[in-house]
Amino acid sequence: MSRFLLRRVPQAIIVLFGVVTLAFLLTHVVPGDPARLIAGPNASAATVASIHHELGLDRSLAYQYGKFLLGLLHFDLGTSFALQNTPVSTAILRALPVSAALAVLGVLWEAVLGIPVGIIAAYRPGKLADRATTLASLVGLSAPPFWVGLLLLYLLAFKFNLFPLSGYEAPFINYLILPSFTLGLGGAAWYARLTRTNMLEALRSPYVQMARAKGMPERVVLLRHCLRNVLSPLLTMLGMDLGYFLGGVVVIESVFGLPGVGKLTFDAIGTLDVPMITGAVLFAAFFIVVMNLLVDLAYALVDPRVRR
Amino acid sequence: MSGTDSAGSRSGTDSAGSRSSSIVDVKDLTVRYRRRGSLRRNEFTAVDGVSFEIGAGRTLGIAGESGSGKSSVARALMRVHDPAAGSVRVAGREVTTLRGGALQRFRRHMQMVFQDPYDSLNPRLTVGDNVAEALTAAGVPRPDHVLRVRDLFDRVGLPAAFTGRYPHQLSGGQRQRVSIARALAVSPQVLVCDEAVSALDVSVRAQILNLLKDLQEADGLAYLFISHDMSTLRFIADDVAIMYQGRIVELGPADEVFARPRHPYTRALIAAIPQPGVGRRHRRGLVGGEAPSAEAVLTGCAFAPRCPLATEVCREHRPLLIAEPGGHQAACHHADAVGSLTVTADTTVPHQQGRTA
Amino acid sequence: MTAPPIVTTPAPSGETVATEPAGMRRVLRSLRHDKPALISIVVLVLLALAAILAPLLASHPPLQTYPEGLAANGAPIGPGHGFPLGTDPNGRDVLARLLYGARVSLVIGILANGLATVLGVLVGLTAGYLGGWVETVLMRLTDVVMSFPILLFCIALISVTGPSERNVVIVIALIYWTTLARIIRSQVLSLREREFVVAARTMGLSHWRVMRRHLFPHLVPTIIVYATLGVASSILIEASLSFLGVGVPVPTPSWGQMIEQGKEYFQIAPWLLFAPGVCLILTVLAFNLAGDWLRDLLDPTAPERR
Repeated sequence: MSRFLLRRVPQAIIVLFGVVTLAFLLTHVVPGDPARLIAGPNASAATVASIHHELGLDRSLAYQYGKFLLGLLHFDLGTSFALQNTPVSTAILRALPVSAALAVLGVLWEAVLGIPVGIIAAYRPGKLADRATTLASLVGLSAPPFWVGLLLLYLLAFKFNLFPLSGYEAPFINYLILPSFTLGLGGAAWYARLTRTNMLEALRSPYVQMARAKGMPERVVLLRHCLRNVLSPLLTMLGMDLGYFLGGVVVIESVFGLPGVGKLTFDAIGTLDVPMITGAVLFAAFFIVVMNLLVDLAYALVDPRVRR
Repeated sequence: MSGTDSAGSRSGTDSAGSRSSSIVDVKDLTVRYRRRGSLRRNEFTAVDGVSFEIGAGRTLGIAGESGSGKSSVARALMRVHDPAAGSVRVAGREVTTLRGGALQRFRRHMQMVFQDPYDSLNPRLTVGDNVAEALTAAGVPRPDHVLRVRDLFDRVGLPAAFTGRYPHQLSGGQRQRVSIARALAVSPQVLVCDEAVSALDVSVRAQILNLLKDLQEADGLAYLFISHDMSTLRFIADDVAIMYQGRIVELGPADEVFARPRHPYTRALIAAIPQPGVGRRHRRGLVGGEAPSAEAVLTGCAFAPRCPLATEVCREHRPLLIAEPGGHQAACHHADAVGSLTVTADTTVPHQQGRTA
Repeated sequence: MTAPPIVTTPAPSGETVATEPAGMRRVLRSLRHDKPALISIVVLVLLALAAILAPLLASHPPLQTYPEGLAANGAPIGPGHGFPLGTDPNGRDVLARLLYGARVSLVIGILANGLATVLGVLVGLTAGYLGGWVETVLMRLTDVVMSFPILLFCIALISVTGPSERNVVIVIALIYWTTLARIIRSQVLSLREREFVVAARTMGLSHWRVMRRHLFPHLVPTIIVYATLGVASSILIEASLSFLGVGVPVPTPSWGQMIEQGKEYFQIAPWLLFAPGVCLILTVLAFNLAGDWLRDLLDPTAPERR
């Protein structure tokens, strides 16, 4: 296990370093001048130049990169252009609880909706239930989440008044159910497909054939013998989704007006707040790398073959 | 193209029947494979300090069971897998250090015929195009391809009409002929045949072996012929090297080795050759047990655990490859006793009996 | 980077059909049995026709605002009244914008994904074939890019470069090549051990020629399948970006942007949501179904995608 850690942790650090470097390069080398963005289209050349100086953009790229890295070591993602004097990290941390709640509920929906549907589909492959759920999950995969969100708002919040339209106040759960459901729907479709494939595979395996031959009830065969094998890959994927969602889901949060990291990013787009956007990207990537690492470690703990 | 003349006059291994004009000269070749995805050095030695020569126009056969490292020798020679140590000289030129364009040009001197006739041809190309690829590699201008391909097909005994067919439309033997044509296309001096006839039926096998012999006589090709099958080697090889656990344990002129083996392992392999009219039952009598895992660290002779002659000295000291006059080399402390080794009576090769001391 | 996350569908059979040329007859026969695939291909053809013939099919120009297209209180008017699918909040014809929007979605989706496919194949092929440090560098780069959330990455880049059709295409391609690169690399890793590839290498052909003539043709089925599925994803990404206002700049119509403009009015003008939304779903669904069908047809051993 320590061997595995010794290999896997440095790898994650290298990737994280690459993420930081790439994010820096994208926002600093790619054509486009943040100073001009801040100053606005009508600003004079002198104003742009002074902002340039203020941001340190007139220094060498290596210097800027060094400063950027040094700041990161102190969890300093720079200061927002738009929110005066607010450090990016403070703004993100303030918004994080909302995104975290949304992420956890979203992952729950994925599992709760996706896995049972997959099992039902695999129970009698090729039959009506299978075909219906397979098609439904394809539609789920193909529907843009922002559209699904708006549709749900229209039907459940506007027409039937079951949920609040937008915002985030106590009791918070009321404001989280629709967004998290929307978030989970696409993933649920994916998990249904995956569960179905893995179930079918498990059902063909010799030990399941054996259990059937012994005369075990089909329900026991399905749930006890198959499900266990299906669940562990799904759990790792759910873990990675959680990492993905924690970074903020821009589209969903902006549709439902949730004040999470995604909404923060969305507002930053409007004000061309580059430090905020870069910070949000780095923050999200950090979660993805860390969750990947944790999932791998969990996998190695459970399955000794992975350790090598 | 430097140092061609230095090839002949090197060191004492003026043996193994190679006269003094060896085209391939391998010294202390070592091949290691690295296990994927590990931080620490975790390597496995497949070939350990193997040396041999092949004379122009001659055939060296390498025998050994699977895992003995004989295919690794071929892959290292062809620079499919780079050797960890040692030197390989072809036509007087060191090839282990070649890179880029020089490596690409060297490849024309040495070609390979592969084991699996179902996998060695590109299924997406016609067999004619498969051969034409080698012509491209050799720098033959495209307009000449059609004619040259027909010519090559003719040489390997395939009708010219076959050029337009796809590999899956041909039989195993026909495909192997295409493979040979492809290898010949770049006019090599050395052909490495890695189990080239092992996948074929016996009757087809004989045809292909005869074809290879004819080609050798016509072109003066040198062959490195790898096979686990001793009867094939007896037919085709001028010299034979026997490999066990990554090392050569016996090396010498083929008739000499077959008639008077000086290593118990060789003796066992020969005894396992099927004899017409001899019952099947006792054939495998001699090599008991299995080769120890390649990873086990052994002192002494690697064959000792399976050897009927093994004594204390075998388990403690690894025998060196010692040459006798006549170029016959063997790595066995009891080489002189091998001849008297009693083999289950009915498996003894008939013409050996007279020589049993 | 990770061992377990790439979940693969187990191969139903050992030998791939891919090694045999897929004849037109086989394609047609398979389409006859697979109704969803047949429908999806019909939908795609109709969609392409609609996009190409947009100027002929639309009764109004897509950018023209009509004062009579707005109700007295300034609200968009519903279907009928001279506008087949109603008007948008600016008084423009929704049908016309939908048809021209199909051009944007298809062209951007196909171009972006085409570029991503080229990148992915180049990276996967060189990494898998050359191995060594080239492979290490390329695959670490893939890991890094894969660690960025797709949408955020696009937003960040576009917020620096400014939104335009060209930038949307480039940005989607820059993030979307990674999955294909990994799949291609793993296929090349097993292909390069095949004897005919070793033969091609040892006969002295250049690396480029070995890759082009002896590896690439064997990757084509995989590439076709993933290119088709990738168009679906690229169209979705473009729609999301346009919805967020960093995609196709106004006033060029795009479906995502139409939904964005309609969302303020959805209580009184739900058609502004339904029309572009249904178009999006149908298009993406059709590409997904076609991709699934191609996978069954060409390459049953290909892994599932995410």
